[in-house]
Amino acid sequence: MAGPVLEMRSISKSFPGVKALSEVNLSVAAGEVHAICGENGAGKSTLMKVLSGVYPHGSYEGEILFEGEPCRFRDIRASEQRGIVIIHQELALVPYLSIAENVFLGNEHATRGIISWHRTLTHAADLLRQVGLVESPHTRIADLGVGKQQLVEIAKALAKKVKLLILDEPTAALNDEDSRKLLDLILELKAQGISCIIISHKLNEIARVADAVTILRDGRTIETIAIGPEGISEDRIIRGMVGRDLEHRYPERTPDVGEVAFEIEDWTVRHPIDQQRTVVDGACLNVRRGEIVGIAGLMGAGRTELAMSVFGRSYGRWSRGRVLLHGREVRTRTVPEAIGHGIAYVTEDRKHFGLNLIDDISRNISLSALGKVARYGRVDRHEESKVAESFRRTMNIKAPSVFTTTGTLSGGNQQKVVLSKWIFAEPEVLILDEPTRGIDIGAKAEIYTVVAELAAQGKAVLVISSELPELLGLCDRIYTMAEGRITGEVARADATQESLMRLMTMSSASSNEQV
Amino acid sequence: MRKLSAGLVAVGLALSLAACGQSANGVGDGAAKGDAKGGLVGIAMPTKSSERWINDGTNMVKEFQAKGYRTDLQYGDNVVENQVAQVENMITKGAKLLVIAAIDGSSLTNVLQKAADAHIPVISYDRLIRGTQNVDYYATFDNYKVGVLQGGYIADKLGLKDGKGPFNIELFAGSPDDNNATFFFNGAMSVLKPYIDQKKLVVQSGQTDFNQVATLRWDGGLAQSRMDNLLSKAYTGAHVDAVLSPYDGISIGILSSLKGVGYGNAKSLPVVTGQDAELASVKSIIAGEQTQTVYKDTRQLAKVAVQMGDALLTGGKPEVNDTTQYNNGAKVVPAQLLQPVSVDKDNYQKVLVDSGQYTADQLK
Amino acid sequence: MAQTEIIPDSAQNVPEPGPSPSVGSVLARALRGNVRQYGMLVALALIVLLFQIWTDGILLQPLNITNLIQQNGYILILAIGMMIVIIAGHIDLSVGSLAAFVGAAAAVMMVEHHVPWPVAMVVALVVGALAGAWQGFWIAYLGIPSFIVTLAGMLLFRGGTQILLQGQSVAPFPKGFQSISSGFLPEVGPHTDYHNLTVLLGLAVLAVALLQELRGRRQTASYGLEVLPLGLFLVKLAVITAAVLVFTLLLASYHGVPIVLLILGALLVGFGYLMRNSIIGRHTYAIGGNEPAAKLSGVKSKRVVFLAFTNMGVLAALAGLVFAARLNAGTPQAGVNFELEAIAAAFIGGASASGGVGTVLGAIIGGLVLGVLNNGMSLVGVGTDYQQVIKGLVLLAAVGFDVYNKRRAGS
Repeated sequence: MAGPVLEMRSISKSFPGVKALSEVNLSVAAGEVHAICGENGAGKSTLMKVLSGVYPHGSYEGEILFEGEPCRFRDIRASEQRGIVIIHQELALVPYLSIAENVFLGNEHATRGIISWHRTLTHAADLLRQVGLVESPHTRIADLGVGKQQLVEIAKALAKKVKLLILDEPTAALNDEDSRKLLDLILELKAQGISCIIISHKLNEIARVADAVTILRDGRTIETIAIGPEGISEDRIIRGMVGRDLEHRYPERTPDVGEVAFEIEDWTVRHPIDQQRTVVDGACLNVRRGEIVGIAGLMGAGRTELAMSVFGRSYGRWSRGRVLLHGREVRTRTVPEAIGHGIAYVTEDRKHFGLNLIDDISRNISLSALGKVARYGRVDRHEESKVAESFRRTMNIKAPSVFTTTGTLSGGNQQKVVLSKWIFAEPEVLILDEPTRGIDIGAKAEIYTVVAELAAQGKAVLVISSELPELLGLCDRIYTMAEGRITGEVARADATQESLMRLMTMSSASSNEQV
Repeated sequence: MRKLSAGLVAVGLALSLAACGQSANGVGDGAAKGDAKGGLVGIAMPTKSSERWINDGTNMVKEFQAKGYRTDLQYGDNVVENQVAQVENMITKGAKLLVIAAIDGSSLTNVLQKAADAHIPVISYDRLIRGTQNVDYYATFDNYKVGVLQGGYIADKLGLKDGKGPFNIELFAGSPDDNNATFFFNGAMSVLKPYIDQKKLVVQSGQTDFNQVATLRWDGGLAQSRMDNLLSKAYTGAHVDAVLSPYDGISIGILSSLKGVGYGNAKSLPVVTGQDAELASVKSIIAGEQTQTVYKDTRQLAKVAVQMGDALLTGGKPEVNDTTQYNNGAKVVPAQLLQPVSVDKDNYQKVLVDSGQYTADQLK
Repeated sequence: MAQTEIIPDSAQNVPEPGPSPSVGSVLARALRGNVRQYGMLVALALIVLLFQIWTDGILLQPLNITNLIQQNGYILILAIGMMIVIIAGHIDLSVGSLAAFVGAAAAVMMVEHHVPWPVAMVVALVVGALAGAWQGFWIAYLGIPSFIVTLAGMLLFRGGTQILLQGQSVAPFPKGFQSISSGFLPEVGPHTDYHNLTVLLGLAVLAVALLQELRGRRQTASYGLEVLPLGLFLVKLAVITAAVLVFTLLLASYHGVPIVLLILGALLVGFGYLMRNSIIGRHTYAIGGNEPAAKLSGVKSKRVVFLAFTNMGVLAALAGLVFAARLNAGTPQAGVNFELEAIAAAFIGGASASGGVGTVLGAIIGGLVLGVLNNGMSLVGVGTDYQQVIKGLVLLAAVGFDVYNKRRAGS
């Protein structure tokens, strides 16, 4: 094949406190499909944001060569003018405009601000033919399924005269049929000379369409593997993806595991809007007293959806399944019911679902169990402050006082406030969703210690995490999830990063070793 | 910066405390200050949104000042509680006399009690203040007469008295929340009703009830929409011969609607009445579109109010010409009634130009 | 005791207090916590001062103080309810129409059907509660935006008012009903130059206020937080004492405490306490601050929103009654733009457009800023046209000041 169409050399990018990318190299040959793989947080999205100008020139180090020329993009528009178009996982379409209007949004066929509908429609029809979408250009986006919307996004990219198309998890929301069509289309575009970068967790798909794969881990390029006609084994990719250093110290503990405290049976949930899609499919799991159980899964595997739907049906539309506490079925149809049964859910997204950022620490901690510091509906501010103060001490929340606004705290301290809130509610079952996401190493270790203590007190703890070392270091037992299903259950002693990753990337089509 | 502002609070409080210390002993000491002659006259008008009240206000201010009084003229923006507050504030400021054109005649009883407690006489201007003993005189036009003039003009113009007919007519009335609107409408209907009963006048739309024909807020735009609807509903095959309109702003809306469906070109315009002789309508009359309006010389009314006020404040007895008709629910208010005048193409020169209301230039 | 075990610990953890901070920095820090409310208090004081000078001392005459209370009572009542609705992250555009509707209903009951006025009042408040619950139901349980539901309510209740009154004002009311708005505490005891009950009430209020201040100071100290230095604290107490005494004497030298002020005082204390100290108040703040987080913490957000609107309905009804009593008439045009005044009062008094922030006291301060502006400008003789321009600018300035402050604090 021809020389490289894109070269990214020694790209480094830092955020306050975190080095997201360090010295990353990426080279994409003209007319090839290049896959990028890596765990959540490996730096894939950051790298693509650097490339597309979301992070403008100057906010990163290193250089980008496109078609041999150095590029300094100020914004997305600048990169699109050069023919680099990124399609995000969350599609950027306006639901109540037509296909044609969306395809040319920001790029209208117009003379002095007046849209030429004739050119718009004929051109749109051309593009739709090119991507194989049989729909009238007048159809509203809202009336299309996700698969077809994805095709509209590609048509939109083609309208911008795309030379390098970047697809971020393009098939995550698609069913098998739509996925297959999309991959075929990518191969077709390749035949027309359009290069493509595809970010995907689905290794079978990569094996099918990619000419080369670059693996990122912890913000570094691990390796780039050319895929010859003989293909590549999924194990080969997995070996590159995992193998992160076990950089953290995990608390020593001797699990004192009791009887089964918490069970989920055949739990099935549909997508809140697109009810054809099953997001969690027949999940079964259990947690014993004093046990820490992990759920491993990549983005979109349905872990958070499972947890939130169990916790008062806070996500999606429940279709079947039971929750049992100590062998008795309980109703958890509302959050207060779930809390009443001693279930607590610590969210992965503390800013949106965990904290009232404009209120202080003490009021955030007491919120889920206000009754404990109130008498006859009157909150005892004094008692509340005392409680908060004791958490501030035991959890080592770094703040001048418990009357500090939570919005001003660092991520780690915010996480400790959220944890305090739920510990104060004295639950029997704690579901921790990505408890250490986006926080520094020191705070992580402190949170691990707290989790271990909770288990030692006889609570049943369920930890959802994308970081395999974290699960391996913390949990007694680990379930893996992929595409809404539980794909495996492994005891810590038997688990390795490779074995877990294999289960996490197992697609429904190829899976035959289900629990 | 913050230190400064904190300091200012302290200073501000101290000053205001000192200031109220001075007057913390008296009950509305303004009310007892100064002689009647040269005292303060409070004038409360409804709104600045209509030219008419602006003229009334400035005319009265001029006349009172010529007689040596100070004045406090305030407009209530057509909001009842604004006016109540303004009248209260006038009392606070020590007004010797209140001239009030009420926004809502029934809503002033409490504040007028305060005026009475402070021995301030009250002249009700143009609109009767209701439900209270504490209104001394009433200066107004004969509003019922306005309606009679409008209705009578239609009857004359169509020749109903001579037995002609039947003719088609549509009715419009003023805002349902304005008492005067009822006066106008009843006055007009006192003339028209007999002809309607005899079928000499036919209301094709069937809408004759006050609530059906009322125009919220005297809004010409609303009147226009209603006329549009009437025309398409009842007059696709018939011709409107007359429209009773209570007010020039409404007449303008009605005329636009009529012209929109060909009246004035293919079909002759109907007789359209009006009120207030607003500049736009007088021009319309000269152009042969609107037929009539009723002129109320508000300069005269202002003069009458000022004479009443002056008499009250100097111990005299105001002149009145009606001591029976205007019962406000609590008492019969002695009133000085001014007569409205019907104006059309034939007499506008004499009534409006010769009297100095408009100059010939303005009407070109 | 409990406090003592906390003090040493927190003293350890707080890195802050250096060697004795300057008076200025302490003040600055005390202000910073509540910039908006202190800012508005300062603004209110400045506006009062300005008009006191401009009107040659008429503004703070006993008669005018009474006028001020009666002219703004109903807006302040609405502002309290509106503040709570805004804290919960919603808005209510229907309160003006609802107030008119309830006033009209009461008028029709009392004047046309000769219902005794206390009965009519109770029925009117129930009508308000039902109307509020009706809107709350659509908003909380069916998830229709409050802007839409209450816009519909605005039309609905306005039309209802006109239907009830047939476009006419209905008057007059029984004396007892009128006194809600124009009445005063009765004269009791020996004849003095001042109104006796008012003086007693003023002294009681002063005693409670001072006790509260002392208790608050002790508690703040017990959490190991910085308190005002003793000297400044005494100055603060002196200012409070002076303000309460002067205000009391001003009222006492006229007819005494207006009934409206009693109603307002009760509402201020009651709702202030509710929002500060009760579970439901806390839940209201949590929902406005971050509704998803509150829901996931087990807050029954639908019920709280429903109750906030029901409460707003009751307060709108009360405002409608006070207003009708003031005019001594049920009028079809009553309550026009009340919602806007109440919303403006809430925002001037420290509410945030995104919810979760604000206090009942703030709503009162905001309402008073508007009220003094209205009264003062009317005394000076500024026309309603310019009054609206000025009030618009004040609203913009108040909210702009807040946004500016937040941005500076955030960066």
